[in-house]
Amino acid sequence: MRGAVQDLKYGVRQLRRSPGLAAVAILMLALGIGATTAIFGVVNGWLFKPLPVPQPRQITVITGEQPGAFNTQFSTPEFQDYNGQPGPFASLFGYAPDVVGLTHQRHTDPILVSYVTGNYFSSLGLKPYLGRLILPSEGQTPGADPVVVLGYDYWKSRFNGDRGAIGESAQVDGQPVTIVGVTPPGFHGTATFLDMKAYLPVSMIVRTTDFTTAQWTNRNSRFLSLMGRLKPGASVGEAQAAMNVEASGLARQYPDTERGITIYVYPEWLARPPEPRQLMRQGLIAALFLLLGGLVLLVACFNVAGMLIARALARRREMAVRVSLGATRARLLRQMLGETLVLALAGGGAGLVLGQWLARLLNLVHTQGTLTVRLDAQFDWRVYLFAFLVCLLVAVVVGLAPAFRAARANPNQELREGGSRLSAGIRSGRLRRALVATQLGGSLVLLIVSGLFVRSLGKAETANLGFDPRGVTDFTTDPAYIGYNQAQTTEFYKRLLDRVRATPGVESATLDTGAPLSGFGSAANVYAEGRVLGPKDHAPQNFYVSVTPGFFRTLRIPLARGRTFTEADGEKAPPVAVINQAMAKQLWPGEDPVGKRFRTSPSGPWISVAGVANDAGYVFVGLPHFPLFYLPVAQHYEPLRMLEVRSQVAQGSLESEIQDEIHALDPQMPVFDVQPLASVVDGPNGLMLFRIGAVVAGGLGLVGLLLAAAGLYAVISFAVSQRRNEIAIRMALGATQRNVLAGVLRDGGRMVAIGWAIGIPLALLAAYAASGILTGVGYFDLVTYALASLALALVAVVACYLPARRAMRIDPAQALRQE
Amino acid sequence: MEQNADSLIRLDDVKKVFFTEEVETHALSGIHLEIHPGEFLSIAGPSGCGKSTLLSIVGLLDSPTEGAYWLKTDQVANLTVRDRARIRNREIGFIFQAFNLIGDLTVYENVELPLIYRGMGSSERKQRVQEVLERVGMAHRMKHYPSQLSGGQQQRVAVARAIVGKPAILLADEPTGNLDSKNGEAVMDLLRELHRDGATLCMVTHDPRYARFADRTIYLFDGRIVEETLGAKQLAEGAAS
Ligand SMILES: Nc1ncnc2c1ncn2[C@@H]1O[C@H](COP(=O)(O)OP(=O)(O)OP(=O)(O)O)[C@@H](O)[C@H]1O
Ligand SMILES: [Mg+2]
Repeated sequence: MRGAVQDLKYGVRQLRRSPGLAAVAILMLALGIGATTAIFGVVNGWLFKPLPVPQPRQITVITGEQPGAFNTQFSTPEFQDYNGQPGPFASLFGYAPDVVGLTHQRHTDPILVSYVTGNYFSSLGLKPYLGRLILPSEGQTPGADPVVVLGYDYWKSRFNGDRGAIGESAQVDGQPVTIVGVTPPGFHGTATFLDMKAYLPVSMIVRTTDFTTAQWTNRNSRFLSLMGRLKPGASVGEAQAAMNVEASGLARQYPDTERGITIYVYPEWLARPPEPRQLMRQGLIAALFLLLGGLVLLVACFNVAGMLIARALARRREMAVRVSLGATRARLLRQMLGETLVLALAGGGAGLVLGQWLARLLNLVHTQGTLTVRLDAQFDWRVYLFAFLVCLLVAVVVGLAPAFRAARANPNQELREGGSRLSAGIRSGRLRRALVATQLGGSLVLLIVSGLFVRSLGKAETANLGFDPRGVTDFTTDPAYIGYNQAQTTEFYKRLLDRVRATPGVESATLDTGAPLSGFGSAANVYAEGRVLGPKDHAPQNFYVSVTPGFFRTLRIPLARGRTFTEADGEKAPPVAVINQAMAKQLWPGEDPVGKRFRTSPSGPWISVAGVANDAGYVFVGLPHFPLFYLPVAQHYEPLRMLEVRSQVAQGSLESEIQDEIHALDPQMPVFDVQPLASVVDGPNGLMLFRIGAVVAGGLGLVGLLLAAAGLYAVISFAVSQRRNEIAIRMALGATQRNVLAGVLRDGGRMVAIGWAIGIPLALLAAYAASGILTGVGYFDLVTYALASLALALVAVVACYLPARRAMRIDPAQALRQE
Repeated sequence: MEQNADSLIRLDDVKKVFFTEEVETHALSGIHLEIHPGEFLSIAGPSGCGKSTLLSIVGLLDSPTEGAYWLKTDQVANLTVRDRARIRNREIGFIFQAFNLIGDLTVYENVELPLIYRGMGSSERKQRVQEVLERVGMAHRMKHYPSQLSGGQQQRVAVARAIVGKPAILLADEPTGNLDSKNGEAVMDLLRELHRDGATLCMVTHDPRYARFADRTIYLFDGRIVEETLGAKQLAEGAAS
C-alpha cells in the first residue's frame, strides 16, 4: 500500500517535470472522458436511474396487448379486476397523461398532467413535499374528488413556490378544483421523458374531458397505463405468472373484450417507454451513442499512450540505470502505471467537469410547447462510478504499452554502447504506428456514423413533407379548458374562423384537431366494408385528425382522387372521409377507393371515402407513408383545435392580431403553442431527433478526427526528429526534397491505409446498428463513406505535411557531422 | 576565369561563413583548390580547421558563402536544391566516419538507395549492387541489417554504397576514424585499390600513415590552406621529369 502511494507520488513528480506533455495528455483524456461521461449521463438518466421512490426495484410496468392495436393500456374495470387479485403484487396502480388547462387567478396554462388512481402515490411510497398527495380513498367514483396535486417544479415556476397556494382553488378545464399538495422535488411522474406538471384523481377525467361515465364502466375504454409494486421478495416472473392466470380467467368471463389480451410484466427500468418492440431499440440507440463516445475516448487514450511511448524511449537510459541498481521489472511497471493513473485521474476530473457541462447542454434540449420532453442527464453516483472505472481502464490502456516498453530496458546495451551508432529508424515506432492506425480507424468509424446522421438530417430536411409549412402559423386553443360545452365550443370556433378569414392578409385558415407533426391527433381501428376478419385477424389501427373544409388548401396537401370536404359535409350529412394514399393501398390495394366505405368500430356507422390525398409526413417526419385519414370536424367533435393560418403578413403582427381576435370572442380563452408551422417541423415529431443525433454524432466525429490528426502529427513529427540523421544521409546520397516529402507521406499514408482497413468494416457494423434510427440513407451510403475517407485523407495529409516540411529543410551537411 | 579542361574540380577563392546567434564563424577563407581526375587527395589539419566544411562544399552538401566552384565544366556554386541533389547522386560518392548506414534497411537496400534516387530499373540495380558488394567482399552479407555487422564490415558496405553509382569523385571524411587499426587498414586497402583502378578520391584524415598513400596532401589551418605536399610517388615522378 505504501508502495502504491509512493508510485503515485512519483507519478505526480514525473508529470510535473514535463508539464507540457501532462497538460496535453490531460486535455485529450478530458475530451474523451467528458464525451463518454456526458453520453453515459443521458443513458443513465434514461435507462439506469431508478424512479425516485423507495424500493424502486419493486416497481413494475404492466402492458396488455391485443394483436393489431397500439394500445397497451387498461380500462377502469380491468384495473379493478386485476388489482382485486394482487397475488405477488402489493398493489397495482395506474395513470393517464393528458393536457389540460389550469386556470388560477384568471390566467390559464395548458399543462401536462397525469390522472392517477387513488393508490398511485401510496403505492409508489411518496411523501408530499407540501400538503397532501392524492389519497387511496379518492378516484373511485366518477366525477368525485375535485383536487389537484402540483409537481414541485411547476409549483416553483407557476406559483413562485408559494406555500399559500395549498388550499387555494383553481380550475382544470373550467372545473373547480382545490390545490391540496405538492410532490417531492425530483419526481416528474412515471411516463418516460415526460414532465408532469400536476396530478388529478382519475375520477376527474369524466368532468374535465369528454370521457363519459358510461366509458368509465366500459371494459373496452382502455386509457390507464398500469404499474405495480411487488411484495417484498416477489419476482417479476411470479407476477407475470399470476397475471397470466388472471388474464385467462377474465378472458373466459368477458370473451368479447378480454379475449386475446396478452399481459406483459416488466421491471420498470426495462420499460422506458413500455413498448416491448422498443426494448431492443432503446438498448441499441444507447449502445450506439456510448460506442461513439467510447471511440473518441479510445482515440484520445491512444494519443496519450503514443506520447508516453515516445517518452519511454527517451527514458530508456534512466530505466536501464534503475534496473542496474536492482529495480525489478514489476517495480518499473508499477511506477509507470502510477504515472498514467495520475494522468487518467486528472483527465477524469477535468472530463467530469466537461461532461457535466455537456450534459447540462443536453438537459436544455427542451421542446417548446406543452409536451415538455425531459432528458435527465443529471449526474448521480452511477455516472461518477462510471467515470472512475473509465479512468482505471484508461490508465491501463494508456499505461500498459509504454510501461512494458520502459520495463524492457536492457542495461547491458543501453549503458555500454551509449546508444546505437545506427540512425534510429522507424522500427522503434512500430507500436506507436499501430496505435495511430487504430486511432485513424476509430475516427473513420466516428466520421462515417456522424456523416450518416448528418446526411439523414439533410435528407429529412429536404424531404418532401407532403405539405407546405411556409407561411403557415399555428395557434392552439381548447375552450374545454375553461368549461365550454360542445354547443358553445362549436359556436365559438365558427365565429372565430369567420373573423380570422376576414382578417386582412389572411389567405386561408383552417381548424383541425392536430396539425402535422404536432403530436396531436387520434388513432382508431378501421374496418373495411365487405372484409370479414378471421378469428386471428385484427383490424389495423390508423391515425386520424378532424379538419374543416379549408384544410387541404391551407396546408397545400394535394388531392390524388375524388374531392375534399365542403360545408355540405355537416353533422347531418352522410359521414365521409378523405384518406391518404397509404391507407388506400392498405385497405383497397389496386382499386379506386373513392366511394368505398369503412368504419371505426365493428358496429359503427359506415364512412364513405370522398377523396384520396397525397401522403404527408404527418405523424413523424421519418414516416411519410403512415396510413392516415381525415374526417370533417363537423361530423367528429373534439374540443381541442389547432388554428392554422396561411398569410403573407409578417409573423409577429399576425400572431398578435389573431390572438386579439380570439380574445375578442372570449378574453379568458387560453391560446398556446403559437408558432410557425415550420418550427413545428423542427419539433419532437419533426426534425428534433435528427438534429440531436446529428449534432451529438457530428461533434463526436469532429473531436475524434482532430484527436486522430493530432496523434498522426505527433508520430510523424517524432519520427522525423528521430530520423533527422537518416534523412540527411539520404539527401547526401542524392534524395531530392520531393523524395523526402514522399517518404514522410508514404509513412503516414501507410497508417491511414491500415486505419481505413480497420475502420471500414467497423463502420459498416456500427452503421448497420444505427440504420434503425436513420432515414433517407442506407447504412451503406457510398457518398458518406467516400466523403469520410476523403476527409480523413485530407486531414492526414495536413498532419503529415507539417513535419514533412521540417524534414525537407534538414541540412544534408549534417550527415558529415555525426560520429 | 576559365575551367581548366583537365581538372575535375576547381574551387576559386571560396569562403564559408557560418552565422549563428550573433557569432560569425569563418570556417573557410580564400580556398583555391583543384582536383584532377584519378587523383588521390588527402586533407589534413587540426580539429575545427574546416576539413569537413570543405568536404561538404566539394560534395554539394553545402554552398560557399563566396567564390566559384566548377565541377567538370559546370559552375555549381549556385544551383537549385533540386539540381544539387541530382549532381550529388550522379557525380559524388560519400563515405562517412560514422558509416551512416540506414538501420532499417538491409545491406542490399542500403547500397541500392542511390540507384533508386536515380530512377534506375530494378534488374539493372540488382546487377550493379551485386557487383559492388562482391567488389568490397560483402556479397555474402546482403540480407543482413547493419546492426548485425562489425564496424569494418559496415564501412565496406558504405564504400560499396558510395561507388555503386559510378561517381566522378569519392569523398571520405575520416573513414577509418571509428575503426580499430586492423579494420582501418582493411578499409584503407580497399580505397587504395579503388584508386589504382582509376577512382578519384578526396579524403580527410588525421592519420599520417594513411595520408602517405595520397598523391597530394593539403594542410588546413584556421580555414586556410597553409601547406601542400606531394606524395612519395609524385615526388619520384617530379624528379624524373
Ligand atoms: N553548421 C555549422 N554552423 C556553425 N558553425 C559550424 C557549422 N559547421 C561547422 N562549423 C564551424 O566551422 C568550423 C570548421 O568545422 P569543421 O567541421 O569543418 O571542422 P573539422 O576540420 O572537420 O574538424 P574535426 O577534425 O574536428 O572534424 C568549426 O569552428 C565549426 O565549429
Ligand atoms: Mg570534421
